[in-house]
Amino acid sequence: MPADPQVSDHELMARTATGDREAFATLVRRHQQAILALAYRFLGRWDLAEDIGQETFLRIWSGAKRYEPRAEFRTWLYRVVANLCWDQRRRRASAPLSIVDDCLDRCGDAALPSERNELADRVRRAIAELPDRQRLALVLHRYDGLSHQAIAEITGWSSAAVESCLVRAYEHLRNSLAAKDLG
Amino acid sequence: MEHVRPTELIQLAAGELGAESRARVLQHLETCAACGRAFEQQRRLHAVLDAWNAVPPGIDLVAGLERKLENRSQIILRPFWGSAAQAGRVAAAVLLGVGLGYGAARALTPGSQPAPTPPVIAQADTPSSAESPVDVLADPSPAGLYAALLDMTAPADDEEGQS
Repeated sequence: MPADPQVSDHELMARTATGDREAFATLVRRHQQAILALAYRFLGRWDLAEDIGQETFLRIWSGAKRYEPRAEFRTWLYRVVANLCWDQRRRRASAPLSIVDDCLDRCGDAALPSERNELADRVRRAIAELPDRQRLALVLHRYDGLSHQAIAEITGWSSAAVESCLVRAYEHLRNSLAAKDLG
Repeated sequence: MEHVRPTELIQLAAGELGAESRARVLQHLETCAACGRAFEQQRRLHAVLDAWNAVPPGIDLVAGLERKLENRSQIILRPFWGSAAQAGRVAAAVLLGVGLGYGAARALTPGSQPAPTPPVIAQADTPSSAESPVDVLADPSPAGLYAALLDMTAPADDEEGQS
């Protein structure tokens, strides 16, 4: 029986723990866009983002029985994603972040004016140049709307470290993005 | 006058500051041009960053996950049959190896060769009952036994010729 879209994440997790695949599918559909976007913004490639998304939800499925709804589900979910993204970057530590130029064809909005697409491309490249920690903190903060405290919980860094990363990331972007972009 | 910390400007632009902190920072921005400019830059930067709207290109993870979970469940069910077949193959290979090894060892070790069959000449010296001229069983009397004894001790004609 399809799961009610109004059912909470915690309830869906409880049902997933019993092997309810419909509940699991609802959970996946509910969060996959955010997970894919987060992984893509951090790793710079949709194929890697898709792998991270698959692995994340497989771990959610496997770990559902051990899940305890102490914190917000999204925080727990993002922690899994962040760890997987981090592992992925560590495996390719020496490689610069890939800037795949087919990105605009795939992720750009064709209906948008080309100027806006160009701006999006400049932003994407500027973010790709950030050091990994700064980029992860920035993506979680700016694009996922997470607070400093939530980012600290997800990454396991101290609040001071998160603040420092964010200040430096925004400063870096202010400098790297052309003055005309900032008006 | 103490300026607003950069992290507070970030939080203000992101709408994260609590009411009390927000009021304090806004009050400062009214009187500090440097912090006012910094905040305006931060606000514009946030707006510029929003231009990058990463929309997954038609990726739906559900179908792929269903396939993977299906494969996993098959793998979970498979071990008994899979391991039984595997164990059979291993046992067959071990038996074959042991058999070949044993055979090779026997062929190569001198002390373990089978006992030689008795020479054929020894059989020729012992006449069968059918060839014996005196049938002991047919005449079990003392005279028959004596005749049989004489026949057994008498040298054969060819042995005489050889000596």
